[in-house]
Order: sequence, then structure tokens, then C-alpha cells
Amino acid sequence: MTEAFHNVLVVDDEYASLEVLALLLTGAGFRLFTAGDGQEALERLAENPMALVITDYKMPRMDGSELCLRMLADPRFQSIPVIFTSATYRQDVPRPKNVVAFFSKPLLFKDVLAAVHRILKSAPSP
Amino acid sequence: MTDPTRTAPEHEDAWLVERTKTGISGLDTLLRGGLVRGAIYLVMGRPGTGKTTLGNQLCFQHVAQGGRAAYMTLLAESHAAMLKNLHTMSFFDASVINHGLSYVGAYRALRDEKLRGLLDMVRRVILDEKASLLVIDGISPARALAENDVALKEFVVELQMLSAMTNCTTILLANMTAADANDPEHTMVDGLIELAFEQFRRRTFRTIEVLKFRGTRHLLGRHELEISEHGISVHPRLEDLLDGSTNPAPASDDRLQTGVRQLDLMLRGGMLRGTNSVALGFSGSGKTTLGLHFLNTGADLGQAGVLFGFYESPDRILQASERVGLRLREHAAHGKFSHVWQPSYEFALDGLGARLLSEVERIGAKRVVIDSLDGFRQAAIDPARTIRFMTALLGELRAREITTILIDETMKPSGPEMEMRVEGISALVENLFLLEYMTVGPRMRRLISIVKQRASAHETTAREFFLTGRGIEVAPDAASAAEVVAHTDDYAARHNDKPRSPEGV
Repeated sequence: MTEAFHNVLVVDDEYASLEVLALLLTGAGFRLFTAGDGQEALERLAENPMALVITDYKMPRMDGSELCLRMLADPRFQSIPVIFTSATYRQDVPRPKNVVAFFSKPLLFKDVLAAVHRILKSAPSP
Repeated sequence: MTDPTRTAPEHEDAWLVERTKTGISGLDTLLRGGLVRGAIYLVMGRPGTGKTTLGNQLCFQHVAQGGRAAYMTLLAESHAAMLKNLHTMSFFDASVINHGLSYVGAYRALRDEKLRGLLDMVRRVILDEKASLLVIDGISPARALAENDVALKEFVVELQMLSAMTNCTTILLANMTAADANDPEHTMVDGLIELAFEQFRRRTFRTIEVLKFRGTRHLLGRHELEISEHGISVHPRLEDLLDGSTNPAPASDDRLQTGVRQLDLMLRGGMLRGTNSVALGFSGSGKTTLGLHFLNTGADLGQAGVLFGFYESPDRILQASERVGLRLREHAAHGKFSHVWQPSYEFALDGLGARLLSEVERIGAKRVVIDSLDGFRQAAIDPARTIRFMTALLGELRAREITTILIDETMKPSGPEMEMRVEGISALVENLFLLEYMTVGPRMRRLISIVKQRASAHETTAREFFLTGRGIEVAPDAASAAEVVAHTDDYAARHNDKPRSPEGV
């Protein structure tokens, strides 16, 4: 798989989660971008075309849910699939329609990687 | 939105604590099930305390259990030298090296690219080797090469996250002690384990203490650690281990024959099953012989027994038993008698307890003779601990419905001054037999009394007994004992000593 052509944005306010997931995905061949909250994520999205966004649910300034809604409202970002991650997110909370997968924290990298492969396989490279 | 902190995640399994057994005897007990999978632990200790042995043993045991492991060194002894030192240990298996267990040098990555380079090296090793256990030996260079404390803290947090995300349990080995426990790596890790030396008189013991273990309970306090040809084994403190977990067996009316017929009659049929007894007497009074009768008779009836002894060698015991017509050699051959001999006081208390309980388990013992209490007392680093230890040990034997005779030697051969050498033992046992001997004219004469038999009537007068070619033979009545006591009282009166009563002691 030619992951080198896929840009992936990881959004998390928790330092180690962000850094280590980025490290692992970089090691797996993706081009990684990072943001500390939803507001910063929108800035990254405006700067670079992304194939996938992996975002934490609960963050300061703009949480993951709000980020998804803003992406859906912007024609440039509305087709980008999103993976939600959370230590506290509840299954019965409505998910924005661009959320294609959800993972409880602590994340298991092999599960996340398998999902990323699966999602990107069916998505066109930007 | 409802308070998300009070809810479970989508998959509650995410919060389940998965354990990975260390496979090291006693350590999993201390950790109440093993290390937490994907967690990070710091094992610290001065040189020689066993860190490298522990780290390697964890790896070999992990691979033996079907896992994959990596042992990463920074500035430590060479892999070749380390393996050479370990190859005589029974856990060592050369066939798994590079086939499930990899040794990796990571110092260059650390030196050239600092902590970021080391973290990336760790990532590659975990993923490339598919490791579910990683040991990083010698974390001190990482501290030395860290730009500052914050950088080191970041590294430890990232390492912790990496371990969690890859579900790889990580062990850091560090040449430091709990006294340095304010460093970042101490506060950030999921668990802290300290290996140490402890000295008592001229003896040095290794100990292990789990200072911190996030998420689950563990056994507190320092526990004995032993390094032998089998590697590391841990002996958790018996009283901590059994505290609250021992379910007392229901009281039984079954009687066990002692092997001395008249003594059984004095006990109104024998000792109640699952009770503990002390046989108290001076050196040579016949205590060990009484214990051998007890075990021999049990084995005759198909009840396996363990003699846990500190003094006489197995050969001497078998010879002694043959001289009085007991068939312990034959019973040993059929697995109904086992002699666990501790020839010196090289072992500490918990190691002894573990050996006894393990042997009891192995042969399915129903009877135990401990010869003697003093062996445990001598082994105690803190003598005041002996009574707490014995409470736990005897409680455990009782809970397993094992009938036990605990031999205790007195400093005096007879009389009211005879006393136990560990305060409080009397309250722990249901039965107390007193074996005295005294000089009557030119003869040494022996008396046996039942001082107490809890929850049962018993003979209250002393009896004379004899050591013959058939072992212990107790007189059928108290007449000769009364004669011995009368003579002794007369002697005492003439020497202004305290007279004694023939009605027991």
C-alpha cells in the first residue's frame, strides 16, 4: 500500500496520545499532521489536503464533535472521513455522519492501523 | 451532554485490566495475577540485587508462555557477557534467542538522536519484533542525555503511551533506589518495584518490594527474593498472603491416631482432625520419636505426611525410625512420607513456609510434623515476626484440614519453669503435650502429660513413658508417674525447690 501519499491529521489535546500516534503512523508510512484541538485542526485542514482525520472527542476550545460539524459544513472538508477516539465518549451520543469509526482509549495501534488501511483503501488519494 | 466521566466507553473491555503472568514463582502472587499488559514498570536496585537476572528471566518466561520479547540495552554489559552469565540458569533457552527473544543495543540511537531517537528505536523494536514484552536495561544514560527534566518526563510519558498503544508491557531497569524516587521516571510509570539487600546479623537477604502498582491491588511490604540455579523466586510474606483469605475448615469430630496407643486413650480416641499440637520437651525427651510415630501411623492408614525438619538428616531419621520398628523408608518409597530437611539456616522465614506448603500440596499430606519451632524462630530476620508467621502458617494448615504436630524444645527438662521459646504459640494450638524427664536415683524417667486438648475431654494425670525397641510406650495408668513425681517433690522439698503436683503440670 502506498500510504506515503496519504496525509493524515491527528487531533488530540493530550500530548502523549498525539505524539505517539503520530510516531506510529509515521512509522507505518503516512505523512502526519497534528493539532491540539478542533480550532487548530481546521487551520491544518485549510493548509494541506487530508485523506483522513483522527480526532479525540473531548478537547478544549473546539471538541471533536464540533470539528466534524464544521467539516461537514465546508465543501472542502465534507468528504474527509473521520475516526473518533475517546476515553469517555458514549455510544448513544449521536455521531456526525462523517465519523466512520470509533475507538475507545487506550487505543490499540494495530486496531487503529487496520481501520486506517480499510478506510483509505476505499477512499481516493488526495 | 451527560457527565462523560461517569460513563463507560463503547467497549467496556477497554477498561478491563489484562494481566500478563511473569512466570516467576511468587512474583505473580505478589502482583496478584501478574503485570498489567501494556503498562510500564520501573525496576530499581543497587548493583547485584538481581535486576538483570529478573529482566532476562521475565523475557525467557514470557517467550516460554508463547509471547515475544525484546531485551534492549543502553550502556550495560555486552549481550555476550550477559548471556554467558545466565546460561546456567534453568530458565535459559538458547533456542529462543532471535526466535521470539531479541537482544538489541540502543545506545547509538540515544547518543546520536537523544530521547526522540531512542523512542523511535523502541517503536521499531516493538513493531518489528512483534514484542509483547520489552525490557530496557540501564535507563540511567537516558537520564544523563536528556536535555532537562521535562524532556525526560516527556520521554517516559511517550514510552508509557507507546507501551499502551502497542499492548507491549515495558520494564525499565535502573541502578537506583527508592530514596531517589522523586525523579520524573518514578512518578510517571505505572509501577515501581525495588530490589534490595537487607542484613540481619551477618546474613544478607535479597528483598523485593512493590512500591506502586497502578490500577490493581498488590501485596505491600518487603518480601524475600531468592536467586538460585532456577533464577529468581519470590517468597511473599506468609501472613500477608494468607491474611483474610484462609477459610477455616469446619470443625471435625474425626480422630487421628497418634501411633501411641495409650496416648490415644489419654486423648479419648486420638487427636481431632485439622488441629495443631505442640509437643514440648527438653532435648532427648522423645519429641521427634513421637512425631515419627504420628507420621508412620498416618502413612499406614494411607494418610501422607511431611516431616519438616531442621536438624537430623533424612538418613538419620530413616535409621532412627527403623530402630523402633517404624516403616518410614517404605512409606517414603510409596509417596506417603516425605522429609523436607533444611540443613542450615540459610533460608529466611517465607522461603521455609513456601517449601512446607509446596511439599504438603505435592504429596497431598494430611499430617505434618515440624521439628522444630526453633528452626523458624532462627530463620526470622525479625524474631518478633515469628508468632505472626506461625499464626498464618498454622492457620493455613488447619484450613487445609491437616493435623500438625509442632515440636518445641524447652531449656529445662521438667518442672513448672518449662516454657515455650516463642511467646503466644500456646494460644495458637488446640493441643499441648508435655514431655518431661527427671532423675530418680540413678535413672532418667520420662513423663508425658496432656496439658490441653481444646474442645475435648482428656486424661489429666501424667503418665510415665518409655523409649523401647518399639518406640514410645506409655504406661497404662498414672501409678508410676505418681511415684516419679512424689520422689521429685520429696527431692524438691529437701532442696527448698517448688514441689509439683501429679495432676498434670
